[in-house]
This record gives sequence, C-alpha cells and structure tokens, in this order.
Amino acid sequence: MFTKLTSWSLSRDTRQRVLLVTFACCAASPAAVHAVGTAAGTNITSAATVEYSIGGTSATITSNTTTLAVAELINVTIALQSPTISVAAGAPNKALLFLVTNTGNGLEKFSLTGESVLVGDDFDPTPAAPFIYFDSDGSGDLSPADAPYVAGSNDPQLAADSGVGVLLVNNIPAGLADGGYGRSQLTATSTTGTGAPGTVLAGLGNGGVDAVIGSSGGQVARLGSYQVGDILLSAVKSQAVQDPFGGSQPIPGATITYQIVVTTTGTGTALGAAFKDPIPASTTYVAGSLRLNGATLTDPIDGDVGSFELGPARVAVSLGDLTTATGPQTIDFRVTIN
Amino acid sequence: MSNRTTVLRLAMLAAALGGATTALAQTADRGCIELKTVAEVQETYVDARGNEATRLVPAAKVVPGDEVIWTIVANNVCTTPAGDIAITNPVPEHMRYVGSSAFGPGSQIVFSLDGNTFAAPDALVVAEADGTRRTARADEYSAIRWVLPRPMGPSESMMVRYRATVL
Repeated sequence: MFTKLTSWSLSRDTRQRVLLVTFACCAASPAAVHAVGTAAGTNITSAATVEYSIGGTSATITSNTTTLAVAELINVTIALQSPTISVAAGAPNKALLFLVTNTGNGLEKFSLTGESVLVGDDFDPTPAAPFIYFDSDGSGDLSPADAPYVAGSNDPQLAADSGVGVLLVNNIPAGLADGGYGRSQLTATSTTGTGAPGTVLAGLGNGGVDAVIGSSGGQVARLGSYQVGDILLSAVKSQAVQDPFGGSQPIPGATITYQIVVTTTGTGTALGAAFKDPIPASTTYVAGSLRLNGATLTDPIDGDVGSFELGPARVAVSLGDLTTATGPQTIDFRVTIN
Repeated sequence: MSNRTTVLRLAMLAAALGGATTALAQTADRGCIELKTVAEVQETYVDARGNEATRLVPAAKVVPGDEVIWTIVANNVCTTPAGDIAITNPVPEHMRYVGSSAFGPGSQIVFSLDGNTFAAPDALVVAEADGTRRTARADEYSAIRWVLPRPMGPSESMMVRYRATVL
C-alpha cells in the first residue's frame, strides 16, 4: 500500500495529492512466531523404571504408564499491522490492517466484528459496506481481490499458530479538523466459546476433547487509528546522463543519475511516508548508489530506511512522518543503460 | 525430622497415592520393587476460612503451558533389602523439565541429555553449532535419574518428584 510516487506519475503531476502515504510495515504473515504448543488431542505418556539388586541379582521394573490428554486451548490474538493512517476529511474506503492469529493448539473458527463508534477519539469513522474484508491478496490494503467477510458464512478457520490478515474499512466523514483522531476496533471471538481463562468446555474441542479457555478469554479486540491531515506531498524527479565517452548520450553503458525531491505543504502530518520507484526497463541499478539527503543507504532491507529490492526491481525509502517543518527530502540513485 | 519419620511419612504418602504396601515376597516376574507414576497439577482453591490455598489434584487433562507434578513411588514389597536402587524417568514427549524441580529425599539426582548417560547438571555439556561448548540448560534434559545410595529395606518406600511443563 505504498502510494506510488513513481517517475511517471510524478513527471506528469508535480504536485500529487497524497491521500495515504502510510505503508504497511508487514504483510499479513502466517509465519508469525508463537510457541503454539502441543496439538489438542495429543496423549502425553510417562513411565518410570527402577533398577535394583537383591542378593547380587539385578532387576529392572517399569511403572504403570500414566497418560495425560492434551485438551484444546482456545486463544486468539490480534495485532494491528497499520500505523496510524493519515487521511483527508471525506476520504472513502480507508483500510486498517490487522493480523488475527490462532494462538491455541487446535483448529479453531473465529467470528469477526468491527466497531467504529468508540469513546476516546475525536471523530467516529463511518464503516464502509462491507465493513470487514480479508486481505486475500496480502497487499496490506483494500484491493479488488480482497474477499468481504460475511459473519457465519466465511468465518476464518485457523490452524494452530496460523493467522489471517483482516481489513477494517471506514469512510472518513467530511468537514473534520486537521489533527483529529478517529478509532476503529476489530474483535475476534472463538466460535467454540468464550469465558474466564481456565473455563472448561467439555467435549467441545477438536475431535471431541475438552476445550479450555486460554488467557484471551476466547475473544480479543484491537484498535486502529486514523488521523486527519490536509497535507500535500509533491515530488519532482530529474535525471542526468553520463555516457562512457564523457558525453551525455543515453547509450548502452551510460549512467543515469535520478534525483527526486519530495516536498511537504499544508497542515498536519503525512504519517509513515514511503517513497518507492521502479528501476526503468533496460537499465540496471548501480549497487550501493541509493542516497537520502546525500547520505548513502545500504541496499539490503536492514537498519536504515532505504533498500533495493527485486521482483520487480525497485528502490524504496521510508521517509517517516513528514510535516512542512521537515523540509524537502532528496533521494538519488543511479542506473546504467543495458 | 528423623530418617525413620521420613520413611514412615513416605509410606503413608505411597499408600495415599494408591501403592499397596505389602511385605509379602513377590514372584520373580513381578519383582521386589513396585513402582507407580502419578501425574498431578496444582490447583488453587478457597478453603473453609475463605483463604486461597493450593492443593494437588490428579491431572486429567492439560493444555500447553500447564505445569504437571510427576511423582514416582517405589515400594520394596519383598522381605529382603534391595540395593543399587536407581529410578529413571524420561522427560515425557511434549513436555519440558522445570529446572531445579527434581527432588527425592536421600537420593542423588543426575540428568541426561541423550537418555543414556547421566551426570550432575554442571557436568552436562552441549556443543553449539559454532563449536563452542556450554553447560546444558535444564530444559534440554531428556531424562532424570534418582540414585539411592543405601539399600531399601523390606516394606520401605521412597518417593521422588519432578515438575514438567506441557509444550
């Protein structure tokens, strides 16, 4: 869900209204690491042995085998994947991304509900219809491939330790003042049951084993936030060609230096602004050439804000939260013509 | 508490755990030591005076994260003393031993990483992938052994215990 500040859109529109320059920090990933534990229905067995000797003769005796049945633990977490999202007043279909994870030890189905009329914020976002979507394509944002959630019809059934990306989609009311916050909440509820931690639901677990409510109580809710800002980001891209013969002809082997200047105007904060630029066809990125405000950024996705990624080849720079006080941000990188 | 009292109490405990203490000699195939394994969990309850207290109750079902208290009781059911006594218990599959939880009155406790060789905790060494060596962590133990350095007399019982967490 990067807002595309590509060379093409930017060269045509030097001032692009950026409604949403936040970026998803993480695609919904079922690989989130949880120590999920022994599967429901497993039998744990134990037997001891004793060795001894009587009158010089040794013997070994084994005890009874004690068996413990592992019940189904019902637990669920929701992690908010979106940062606070910058929105313009009146903007439609703004999505918050959550990751719902089954942290129990069995296969479990969860129902989902959303709520946007909440206390403690400045405005109430208006739920879109449908309100809840699965992030089916893993894009982190609402896209045509995303399936709407229909309660009781496609409740997510999650294997132990697996998760699903869920989008809460709200429309932002018109006429809001800059800086105001609006919150929206996603709730996931085990369809097997809820209750105080430790509650036993006899026979309701996977395969007829008992189910035990875990620390979540079988239900969990998580808030996401929008912030109103009337902020404009503009980007101007320029290029300089240097050929191998000291000239400026765009011939194979020539180097193109691209420079992009991102400027912020208006009020409010562009939260989590991200710059992303595909490497043009028939050119090759010059390794290690990406810079932000003159400082070199390393190519791997690592501790610094910049990276070069493949598939498709592109450079990306996380500019962070931008206001007019931040000043222009200058990005440059080089490619060679193949 | 004298040794005699300890033995008596253990005998009572063994009886309470269901181990029948008989002094009759057994046939060779049944052996002279009866061995019983019991799994329990600690339960918090409110006693008659309204105070919170804990007690051990049989572990019927468990969930990941539960701590189980395993008790092993050995009775010498023969009329002659039994020597060279060693009780061995593999840490059950799907469980992890809780460090420092093993105890057994009068016995030496040793641990194993591979289930075959046993040693005191500081003598158990793990080789890391990079070649460095370190002392094994308690959660890496795969078996526990209690060695009783004295013979067990007729009708005598011993109890050993450890705790393990469901993974």
